[in-house]
Amino acid sequence: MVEIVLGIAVFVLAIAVVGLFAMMGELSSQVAGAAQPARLDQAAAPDHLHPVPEARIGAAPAKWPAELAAIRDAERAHVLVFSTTCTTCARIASGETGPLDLPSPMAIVVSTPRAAAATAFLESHPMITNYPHLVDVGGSWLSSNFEISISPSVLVFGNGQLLSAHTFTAASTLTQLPAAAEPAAKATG
Amino acid sequence: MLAYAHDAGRVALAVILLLGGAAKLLSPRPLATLLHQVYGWARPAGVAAARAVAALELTAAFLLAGGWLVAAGLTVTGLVGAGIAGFTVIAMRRGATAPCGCFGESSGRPIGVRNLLAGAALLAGAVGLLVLPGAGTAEPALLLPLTALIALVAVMVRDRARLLAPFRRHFEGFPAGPEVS
Repeated sequence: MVEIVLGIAVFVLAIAVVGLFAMMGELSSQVAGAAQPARLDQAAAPDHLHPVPEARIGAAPAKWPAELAAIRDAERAHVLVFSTTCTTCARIASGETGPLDLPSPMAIVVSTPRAAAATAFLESHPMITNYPHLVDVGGSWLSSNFEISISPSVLVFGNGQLLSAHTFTAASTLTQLPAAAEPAAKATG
Repeated sequence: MLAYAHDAGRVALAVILLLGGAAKLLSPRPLATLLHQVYGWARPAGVAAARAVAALELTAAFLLAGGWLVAAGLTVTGLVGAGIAGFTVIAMRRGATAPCGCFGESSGRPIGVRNLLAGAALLAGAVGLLVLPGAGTAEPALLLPLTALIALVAVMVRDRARLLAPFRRHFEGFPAGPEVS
């Protein structure tokens, strides 16, 4: 009986270890994907926008936060998504990669695990406060409405509907946005 | 002799199911992304589906390795294999490009013929053991840890590059340079 209990324990332990390896693989594939553009950036090579495959294109939230009211009503609007735990977001939000040149209306959503971290992030990067901005604790508004859980990313809206979503690694990349957004919207919608 | 074949077959299937089930249970996102691409399912539904498949696979692995309700375990294994093969065909027809993350694989390779063959092999293995006369004789106290051990060795060999990467630069020699006498 003891042998069987030990066997079951080892079996469960193997499940945990194999699962951890799988999580490590998933994490490293995401980090590798994010690190590659960063290396390109360091080598002064051009950055690109990358579509967010899991984004819920065409989604229109039933409820908009007051901070994003202008986005809801505009024919074409942009939302930048930053996270307080993301190093690239901090570089972009500090203006290190260039100004945030997007046509108005534009807003910023700061996704954060804790509200206090968002406050510190806003204090460290005052450029964000030049725009309407929303603190999304836990990323709940973004993920529940658009399945967006990656940052930095830029969301393109038309009349309150998500038209396209892209990741980026430098503010200068945002100049590619109109050309990149329209095919994505057509392809999925 | 047939008893050995039964035991070896059960362990082989249990290892494959353990690898696939444990990976999907704790890392369901790749399959959820693929389900979104193929069926348009929202992320939470995809994650729930991936974990449901993982639960089935782990249950089957446990039954096969433990030697309890072997016929039921083999039936579930066959269903999982058929499901993998069928889903792969649908995904390939719809031009899915996302990796399925099957068996914890993280190479980023899109779902394809390899997944189809893996599903077919699971199905064939389960059917083969069901029709093979006789039964296994090994004790659960032996087969459960043996299955776990083989799965652990398999995952460590497969992911050895990732395991060793942090240590490599510390243990590799310095680049060759002029000798100092």
